[in-house]
Amino acid sequence: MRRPVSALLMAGLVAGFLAGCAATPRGRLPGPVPSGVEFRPAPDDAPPAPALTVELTDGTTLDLAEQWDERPVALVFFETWCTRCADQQGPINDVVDEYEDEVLFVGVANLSEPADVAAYVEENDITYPVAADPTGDAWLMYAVAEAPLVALVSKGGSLLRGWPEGVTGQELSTTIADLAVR
Amino acid sequence: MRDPVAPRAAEGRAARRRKGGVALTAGLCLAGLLTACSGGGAGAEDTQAVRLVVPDANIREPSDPCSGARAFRYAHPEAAYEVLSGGDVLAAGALPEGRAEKAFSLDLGSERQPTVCVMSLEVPASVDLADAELMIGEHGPVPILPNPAFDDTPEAVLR
Repeated sequence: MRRPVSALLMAGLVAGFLAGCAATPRGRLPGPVPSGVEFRPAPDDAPPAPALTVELTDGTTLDLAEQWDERPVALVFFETWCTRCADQQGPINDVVDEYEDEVLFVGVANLSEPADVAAYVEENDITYPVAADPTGDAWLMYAVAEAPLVALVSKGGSLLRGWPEGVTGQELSTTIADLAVR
Repeated sequence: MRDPVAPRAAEGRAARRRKGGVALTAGLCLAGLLTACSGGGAGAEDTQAVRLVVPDANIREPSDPCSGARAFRYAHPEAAYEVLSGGDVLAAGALPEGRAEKAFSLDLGSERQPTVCVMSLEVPASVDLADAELMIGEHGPVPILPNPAFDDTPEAVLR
């Protein structure tokens, strides 16, 4: 009777090991916008979001204006030493899953070391693209005084909301539904 | 003829030795734990706190965790600092996370209000902070001076 139990345990361990080894996708860009999804028009008084091109941690560049031509964009400004950023990341990841191909999320770090950013992405299971902004241009244009800050941009490029000190997953999800995605 | 009592006595002695060994091990572990907890282990050193005030006037709730904001973003957790005097490095380390303190002693009617970010740097107690200055990376130096409002706690205010 012990042998089947041992074999079962071993099989479980191997399966767990293989599952653990399966690489979680990082830097994922959304696929095509699902059919039937509609985006809400931005309010008339919403200011234009600062357009910029950021360099991602994989060395490629991302033109934000090209992205919000397709769908809303959420910018997540963070630093690797920011405990509040890490605390908020799990619920933000849930919202990323909720709006998988409807909203693009982009992380933007400023002063953090590239190796620390890579470790932070792994530790916090971030699947969306992350940009390094060593010059701080993106932080300046979005008036980020201190991490975290989350900014929501509509399809078409209007700044809908900014959350200094970050945002809860619930509020982010609700706001996207109220202001950006029908 | 074997003494039937002898094996039991021997077993009893062995058991007592085992118990004694366990007690000794537990005692040593406890002593080690207490030493580690009290910070009295070899290499541990008494420290003195230096208040680092980052006057960024950022809007936060007092006591929130913080790092330097806006022009003071260089003053962030993990940033390297040095305490200097006459060109000599007296102490060095990495900045800890800060806590927000009210920038003004006024009731502004809101939990979120202008704050400064205050970090507590632990430097060896043996360091003489008279005439000492603080550098954060390439920023500084700023003088470290006793602050009478906090029992003459040594304080550096960035500018």
